[in-house]
Amino acid sequence: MAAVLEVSDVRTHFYTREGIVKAVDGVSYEVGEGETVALVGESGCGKSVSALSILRLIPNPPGRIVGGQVRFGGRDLFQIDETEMRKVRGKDIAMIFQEPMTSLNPVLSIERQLTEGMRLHLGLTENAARERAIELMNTVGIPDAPRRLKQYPHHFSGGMRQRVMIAMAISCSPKLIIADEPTTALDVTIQAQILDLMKQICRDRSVALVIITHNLGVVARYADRINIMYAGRIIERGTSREIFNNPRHPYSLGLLRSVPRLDRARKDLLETIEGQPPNLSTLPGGCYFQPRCRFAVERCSREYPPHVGIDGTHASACWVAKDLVREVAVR
Amino acid sequence: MTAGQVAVPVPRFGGIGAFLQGATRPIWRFARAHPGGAAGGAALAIMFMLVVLADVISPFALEKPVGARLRTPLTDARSGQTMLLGSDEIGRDVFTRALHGGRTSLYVGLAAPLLGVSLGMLLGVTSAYFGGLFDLLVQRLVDTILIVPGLVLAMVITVGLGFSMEVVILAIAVSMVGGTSRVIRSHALSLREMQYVEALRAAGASHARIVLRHLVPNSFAPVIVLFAVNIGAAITTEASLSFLGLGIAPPRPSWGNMLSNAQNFFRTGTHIVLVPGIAIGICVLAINLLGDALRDALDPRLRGRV
Amino acid sequence: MTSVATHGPVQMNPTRDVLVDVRNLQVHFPVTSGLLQRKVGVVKAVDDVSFSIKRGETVGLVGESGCGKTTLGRAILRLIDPTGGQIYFEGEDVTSLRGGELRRLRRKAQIIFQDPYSSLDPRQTAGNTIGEPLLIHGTTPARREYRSRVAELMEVVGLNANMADRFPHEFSGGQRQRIGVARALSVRPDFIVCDEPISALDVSIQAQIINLLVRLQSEFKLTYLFIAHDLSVVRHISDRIVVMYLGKVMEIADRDELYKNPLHPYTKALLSAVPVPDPDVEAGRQRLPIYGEIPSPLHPPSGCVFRTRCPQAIEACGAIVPEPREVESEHRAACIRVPGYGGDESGVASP
Repeated sequence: MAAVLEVSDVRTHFYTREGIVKAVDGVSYEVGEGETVALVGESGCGKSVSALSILRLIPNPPGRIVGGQVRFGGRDLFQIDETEMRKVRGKDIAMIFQEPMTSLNPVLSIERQLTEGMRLHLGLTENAARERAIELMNTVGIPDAPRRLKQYPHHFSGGMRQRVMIAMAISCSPKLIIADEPTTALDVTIQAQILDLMKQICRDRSVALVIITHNLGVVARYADRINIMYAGRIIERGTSREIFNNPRHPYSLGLLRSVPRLDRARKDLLETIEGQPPNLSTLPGGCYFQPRCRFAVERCSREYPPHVGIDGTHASACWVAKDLVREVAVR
Repeated sequence: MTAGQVAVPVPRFGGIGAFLQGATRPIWRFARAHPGGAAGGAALAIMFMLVVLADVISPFALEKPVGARLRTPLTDARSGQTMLLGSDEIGRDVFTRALHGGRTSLYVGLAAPLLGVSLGMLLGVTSAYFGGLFDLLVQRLVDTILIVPGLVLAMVITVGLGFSMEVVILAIAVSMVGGTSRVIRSHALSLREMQYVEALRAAGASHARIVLRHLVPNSFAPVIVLFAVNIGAAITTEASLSFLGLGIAPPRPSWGNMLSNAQNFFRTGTHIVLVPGIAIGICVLAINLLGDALRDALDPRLRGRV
Repeated sequence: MTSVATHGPVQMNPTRDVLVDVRNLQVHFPVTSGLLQRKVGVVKAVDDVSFSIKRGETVGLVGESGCGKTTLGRAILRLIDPTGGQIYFEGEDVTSLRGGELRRLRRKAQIIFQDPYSSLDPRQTAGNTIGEPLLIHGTTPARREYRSRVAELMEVVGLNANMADRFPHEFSGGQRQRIGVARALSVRPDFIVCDEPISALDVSIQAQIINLLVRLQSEFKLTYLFIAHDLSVVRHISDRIVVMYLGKVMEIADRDELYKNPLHPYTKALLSAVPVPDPDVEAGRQRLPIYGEIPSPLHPPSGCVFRTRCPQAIEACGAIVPEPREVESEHRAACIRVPGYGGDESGVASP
C-alpha cells in the first residue's frame, strides 16, 4: 500500500519555565491511502501535538518542532516554506477539531465559512463555490442546504456543526483528514452517526484519516491501524485486531481491562492502572510507564525499551512484551 | 450539638488569610520572581519615607517665600541654603512643597481607590452572585451613575459636603464605584458558574461565606489591577478638583494643585511644572509595576513558578 | 414521623428502607427575553419524574445531554428549586425546606461533581476545601480535631494527608476528583449524587475513581444516585437504572434486566450506539437506526418526546404522552409500542 503520510521520528518540545517538556518525542507512523489510523492516548500524551506538528501548527514560543520528517506528497513538510505549507493546510490535509462549538466563527454565515477554503484553494467563483457547498451539505446529511447555508453557527446543534466541519474538511478534496477527538463533545447517539459518516466519506473518496482519540470503543470500530501513545511516545502499534486481541504492552492491556464493557459479564471491581499519568517535565528514568507497571522488571528502570516486533506490523516498546502472552490468555 | 447551626469562626485559612500568607512571604523571593514589581515597590517605599518624614527632611518653611520667584533648581535661597528644586511663582521652595504635596496626593491616591474599589468589588460580586432583580436594580443604578462623568460627580459631592481631605477622598471613591463594579461583576459572573460555588451551596454555606471567602478572593486579580490603575486617576482627579477650586483647600499643597498653579508659568519656570508631573508619573508607574507583580504572586496557580 | 402515603405504581409498599422518593417532580425553567424579562416560553427540564432510591443502593441515571439528568440530581438536593411534585428524604417531605432545615438536609445529602477543575476553589488548599463543610456545620469544635479529621478523610480517599496544604493546581485530575469525594464525605452523608464523576477524567484514572466509589459505598453505607451518559459505566456501578430523554423517564429497571431485556426503543438505541472495544464484536454488531438530533427542549414534540427519532413510532405516538408503567415485574417503560403496555386507549393522558 502506498503511504500517503510518513511520519518519522518527529520531536516537538515545549520550552517552559519548569523546563523542557518533550510533548512528542520521536513519533513515527505511516498512513496508507484510504486507511484509517488512530492515535490513542490520554490527555497530555502528545497525541494532539503530534497531529498539529504535521501541519506545523505548534505555537512558537513556547513550542518548537526540533526534529524528524513528515513525508507527504513526495515532500518533507518540515522543509518547505510557509507559503507552500499554507497551500497544504486545508487543501491537501484537512483538520477536524474536537470542539464543534468553538471551531466555527460565530459571526460568519455557514456559507461564508464553507466556501472560503474552496475559493482560496480551488479558485472557484462565488456561485460555483455555493453550488459545491450545497452538494457538500447534502453529502454530509444536512437537509435543506440552500436555506441552512445562510444561517449562522448558533442555529446548528453540536452534531450538525460537526457535519459542517466535515463538509469543510472535504471541500477541497484532501488526501488526508486529521480528526482530533471529533466526537468527544457529542452525545452517544450522535457520536455513532458522525463516525459512520466520516468513515463512509473517507471510504468513498479514498481519503486517508488520522483519528486522535482517547476512546478505545471508537478505535475498535473505525480504525484499521492503531498507535497507542504514552508520555510523548508510541508504545504499541499494530492493526486493530492485533492490539485488541493480543495487547503486548502493559499500558494497552491495562487500558483495555479498566474499561467496563457491555459485551462482557459485569465484575464487581474494575482492574486499574495505579498511579497518575506522568508529568512530562519530570519523567522517570528508563521506561516512562514503569512506575505504574505491574510487570516491571529491574531493567525497566534503567533503559527505555525499543520497539519489539510481535508479528506482522504489531510492535510493542516493552522489555517483557513476549511474556505478556500468558497474561492475555488468562483474562 | 444543636443542629449544627453554630458558625465557628476560623478565619485562619483561605480568603484574607491566604492573601496575607502570600503577602508576607520573604521579600527577596518575591523580588527574584518579579524584579519589576520589586523595583516599583522600592520606589514607592522611598517616596513614602520621604513624604512621611517631610517635616524632618524639608529644609524650608512650607508657606513662606524663601527666595526669589521662579528660581531654577540648585540656586541659593536668601538664607544661603541651596534650593534643590528651585522656587515657585511666589518664591517658596519647590522641594519642600513637593514633599508635603506628596503627602496629600499619596494619601488621597491610595485611600480613594482603596475605598472606591472595595465598594465597587463588593457591589459587583454581590450583584453577580445574587443575580435576578437585585442585579438588575444595581446595574441600572450603576448605569445612572456612569452617565455622570467621574469628575462632575466628585465636584457635586465636594460642593455639597465641603472641601476637606475626607470629603475629597469620598468624592473620588464614589466616582470609581460604578466602573469598578461593572468590571468585577463580569468577572464574578464567570466565577458564579464554577462548580465549587455549587459545592459550597450543597455543603450549606451561607451567602456571606460564599461571597466573602470564595468569590472575593478569586476576584483579587482584576481588583489589584483596577486599584493600581485608579491610583493615577485619583491623583489626577484630586488635581483637577484643586485646579477648579473644588478640591483640597489651597494652603495645603498637593501635587495636583502644584501642577495646576504651575501651568501658567510653563515658559518661565518649566521646573515647577516638571517636578509634580514627574512625581505623579513615577508614583503611578511604580504602583502599576508592583500591582502586576502582586497579582501574579498572590495567585496560587502561578506561585512557585519561577 | 410523617407516614408516607402509598403512591401509584412508584412503590408497591413504601418501607423504611426507601431513602429518597421522588414523586411527579417538575423543574420548569421560564425562558425570558428583552429588558422587561417577559416570559416567552418554558423549558421542561424535568417533567413528571417519579422514582425511588432504597437505602444502600445505587441508582444510575442515564441520558444524553439536555435530558434533564443533571437538573434532576440538583433538584433532589434542592440546589435547584422544583416547580412541582415532591421529594421525600427518609420519609420527610423536603421539597420546600428553608434555612436551618435545609442545612440539616445538606449534611445528609451531598454531591460529587463532574469537572475536577472548576469544582475546587483555586485559592483554597486541599485541606480547606475538604474541611470547609465541617466548619459550616460546626461539627468539629476543636482545631486539632479538625486537622485530624481532614487528614483522615484524605487517607480514606487515597490521598496522602501531608498534601493538605497544597493548592488544587498541584494535583492531577484524578487526585482533584478524590479531593471532591473527600469533601462530599466530610459531613458523613447518607446519600451522594455523583454527577458524571468520571467523564472528565483520563481513561486510566476512571477505573480508580469507580473502584473508590464502590469501596466507600460499602465502607460508609452510602446510597448513590449515579448520573452518567456512559451506559457501560452505569451498568458497572448501578443496581437500578433510570433512562431519561428530554426531561422524561423512558424506562426504569434493575440493571441486569435493563441490559438483557431493554423495552423502550430509546434504551435499545442507546445500548446499540455504545461502541465496544473489540473489533470482532463490533464487526458483527448491528446498529439500530436512530434518526436525527435531539429536538430543542423549548419545542419538544407532542405526545411521546422520543417519537421524532423513534424507529417504531406510529401515528398514535404523537397524540399520547405515555407515562412509565410497570410492563413487566419491577420494570417500567413509557412507550405505547411496548407489548404489555396497554395500548393507546387505556387512561393515558391525551392533549
